Amino acid sequence: MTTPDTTHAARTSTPAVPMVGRSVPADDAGAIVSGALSYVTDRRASGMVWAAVHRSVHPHAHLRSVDTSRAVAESGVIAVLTGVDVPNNHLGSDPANGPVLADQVVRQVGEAIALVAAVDEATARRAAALIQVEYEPLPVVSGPVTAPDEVASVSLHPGGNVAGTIGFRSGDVDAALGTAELVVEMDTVTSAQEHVAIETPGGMAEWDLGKVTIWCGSQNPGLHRRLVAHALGLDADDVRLISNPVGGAFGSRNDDPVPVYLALLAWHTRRPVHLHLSREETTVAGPKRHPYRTRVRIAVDGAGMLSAIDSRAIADTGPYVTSGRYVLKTSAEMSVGPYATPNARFDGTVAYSNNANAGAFRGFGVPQVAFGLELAMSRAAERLRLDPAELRRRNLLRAGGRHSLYGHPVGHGFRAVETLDAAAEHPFWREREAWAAGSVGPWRRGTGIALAIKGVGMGSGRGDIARARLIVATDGQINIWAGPNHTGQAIETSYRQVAADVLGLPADRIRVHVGDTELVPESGATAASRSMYAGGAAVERVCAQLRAALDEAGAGRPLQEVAAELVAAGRAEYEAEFPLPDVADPGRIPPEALAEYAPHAVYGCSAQVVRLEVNRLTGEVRLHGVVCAVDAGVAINPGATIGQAEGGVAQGIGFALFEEYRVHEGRPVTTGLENYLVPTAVDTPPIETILVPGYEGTGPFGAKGMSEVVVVPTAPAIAAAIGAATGVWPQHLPVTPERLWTALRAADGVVAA
Amino acid sequence: MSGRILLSAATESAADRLCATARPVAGGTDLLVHGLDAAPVNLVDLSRLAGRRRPVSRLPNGSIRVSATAPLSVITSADVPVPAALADAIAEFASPQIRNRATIGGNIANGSPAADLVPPLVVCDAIVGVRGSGGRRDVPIGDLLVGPGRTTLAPGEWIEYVDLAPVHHSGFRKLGYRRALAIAVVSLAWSWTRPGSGPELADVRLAAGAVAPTVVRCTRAEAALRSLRPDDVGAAARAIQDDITPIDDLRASAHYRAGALAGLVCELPMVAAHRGGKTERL
Repeated sequence: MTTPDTTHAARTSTPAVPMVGRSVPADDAGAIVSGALSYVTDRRASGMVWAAVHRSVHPHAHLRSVDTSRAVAESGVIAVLTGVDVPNNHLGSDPANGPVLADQVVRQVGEAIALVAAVDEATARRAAALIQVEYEPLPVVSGPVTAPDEVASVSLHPGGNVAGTIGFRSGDVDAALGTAELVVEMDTVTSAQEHVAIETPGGMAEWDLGKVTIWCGSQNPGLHRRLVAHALGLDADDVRLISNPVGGAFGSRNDDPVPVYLALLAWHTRRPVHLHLSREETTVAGPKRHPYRTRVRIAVDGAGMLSAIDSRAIADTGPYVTSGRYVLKTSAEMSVGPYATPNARFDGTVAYSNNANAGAFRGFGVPQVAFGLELAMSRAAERLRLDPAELRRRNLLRAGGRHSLYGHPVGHGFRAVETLDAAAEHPFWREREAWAAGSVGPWRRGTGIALAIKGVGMGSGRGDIARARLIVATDGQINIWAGPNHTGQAIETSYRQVAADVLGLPADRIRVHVGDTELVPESGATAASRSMYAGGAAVERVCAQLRAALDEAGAGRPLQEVAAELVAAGRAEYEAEFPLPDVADPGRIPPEALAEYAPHAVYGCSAQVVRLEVNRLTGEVRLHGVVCAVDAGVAINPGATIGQAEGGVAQGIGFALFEEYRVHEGRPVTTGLENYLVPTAVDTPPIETILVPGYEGTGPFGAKGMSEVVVVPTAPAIAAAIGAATGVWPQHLPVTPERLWTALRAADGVVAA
Repeated sequence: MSGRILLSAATESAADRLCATARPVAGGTDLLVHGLDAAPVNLVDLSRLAGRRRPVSRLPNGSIRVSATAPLSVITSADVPVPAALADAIAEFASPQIRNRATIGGNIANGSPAADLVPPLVVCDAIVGVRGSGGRRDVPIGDLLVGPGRTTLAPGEWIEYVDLAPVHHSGFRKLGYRRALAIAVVSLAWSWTRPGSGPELADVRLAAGAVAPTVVRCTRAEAALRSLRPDDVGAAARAIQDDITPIDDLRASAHYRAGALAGLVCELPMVAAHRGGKTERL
């Protein structure tokens, strides 16, 4: 980089080469790849004690007694805590979010019952194993996906097993289905997916002078601060969460209880406490993507025009609901995809079970419903002998058009047409017949395409706000504290690019800090594809204030001189907030119910093309390439955007072909990475990302969020490619070789032995 | 963890002596998976023996001797090539990092019915060179395999080398649920000679993994596979069902294992046709 040292140079205007639009490596990139970076779980302190968790071995049972005497008597044990030791034994104000430590009933294998602190890790784990729990087993609810008839049989919570429902309709769906020339139905099952963040949950906490400081990964430091304060009966100001550097999240650190465990242990022991969950603990006890069963029907006329989209979805939230209702709400909104149709209906239910607790996961309810819709679109195109891209094109919402279910305008930055075209113009799609003609032996070749949308931010009516704070020092150094937090995507690097261009200063004048509740103003979750969009906009706004002050002081003057004047005048500190825009009008949604449906004003799109081979004899699938077109508005940091796209596609491949957290009658089957398979480097084909030109008028420099939508089209594109290759349209994810082989045999008319 | 002693054997005779009272370990890649806490107290590290001998050498009788204590990546980079079936299996084995540690001896001694390297050894009529404080013995590979996790190796015995018969045509196909770091759901190794220029086959050997308590030689299918003509291949795919006793487990049903193995047999003509050319997809 050849940016001049401007400490004494004139600050004129925007630098000749803007930072926005440049691929800037993460500040920590070198330290990350060399292993030098110290993560929150690497943190140590003198006098530190080590913690371990005792977890339920039953999926559903009354706790008759919890006997900690043998653990307490073990040499080196400092503390053993159970539910009675938690001042307010709830993870938040809603009891359906579960207790901190189960004290009456356990509803999942792996649910936390007790915490142990000891002089070293081995002692802590040994003592945790000595805790004697007497269980009275209760009937197991296997969940609404695998055992829908059981939902009403045994209640896991006082109100029954239905944790939430959402329903909405526009037009007359039944009439449209009844008169359509073609109705395509998909009955899909999607599985529980584990986030597999590289760093498993953990960190450290210290108690000092009535305040607790926690170093632990979090996608929502403000929420975790409130959860800790609620459980410990503290004032939120007495809880400080420092939540990075951390190795990945993908949704798993949204409502992770580990910050609460750490605070509780530090509070009781008055010593620094370290806790780091193992991969097996995380796999069994950590949240998962909600498994869904979804029935999608689309009605199409002979010209390929959609007349109805009808979806019915049931989601398994596991023992507690946490994000479940919001996940279902997002499913409802995205159930009509990017398509315009006069008739649409969504009926959704989220239900409790004794399976893994489900929570937030990149895509947040969209991959589950988009799978069936997109597969139905591809199947309809095949039935009508239309190009699947053309069928979609005929039915796309245009920028400013109205959402098919809710009727609100989708915003002027919407680029579904351009995104689809970018993918469909790729040689993978144009030359799909030549690819198919090259099939050899049992390896049949196919190509599939799919499209998806995902709202950016929490949605209308939810008071979604990001904030930033800025201080300029006498030497001209600028510090910015902003959120949402960084959970591995190096968001602070991109925030700094925005700041540099607003201020017209070189990036090395600016430092950005995220993920510390003491310093960073409350900015909400690193979720809902909102960090770059909302956090970037807050940074843009706070920098605009300083820029105005600098301009007022006179253009062309040395920054240091002006900075010293601002400090002396008490004008060195600035704060700004960015409230995410609500929809311009709520359409069919009653205004008082806006927050319930929470439609978005801003959407991102992704279209993907997958080229693959299927072995007709064995059911194996081998991917040969993925094209990922993504509409991110203006990509602030294109390298980081492409990295997010490639990671999303890889996670989509896992969802489509490999990943299935299996539970049998409440008991985990896939308990670690030996049998819960994620794609490896050789299972992940070359991915070509196309950044679709666009501009989101409400976002910083035209940017909007994109990290979730890229995970959505991969599975339906893969399934459609399998359909094109074999004539079999897989509707149960993941498409394992055995599942596909069974479907291929059935299609060949071979009766199962 | 307490009390474990790791002894490093610098010579074969030292290894014989030490193994009499402790358990041999070479790459240690299975030991780590099973967990160090589950390991026996005393271990003898055989990995330093590998550097003392050539990893692959040709014997006067034409057989190929392959070190059982050398890392797999050393074997495939040796100047004497190993039979294609073994090379294929090593290429599919775990991951590059594990291939830099894991050994043929460990893969045999681990006794897994899904062991990737054992089917190629079976179709190459491998003779396993076993050593122990009581001396050395040569054992046909089939006589070592007893059941899941079990072999006829006596306590204190370790595997020094395997001798492979020269085979003209051979190969190995693994069906795993992903393409690296996956346990075989089924696997098939083959070797044969081609007496003429047509599709006829002779000296056919077939061995399958993950479809019986041990890797199994599939003699009924061998008898049926007289040629690579569709009718003989179909007959072999049917006959192999009587050579195997697959079970349902976490990874797959017995029904699928049987069907997929039949599929691997049906692929053989295509695989054979592509031998010598690009084999990336096979």
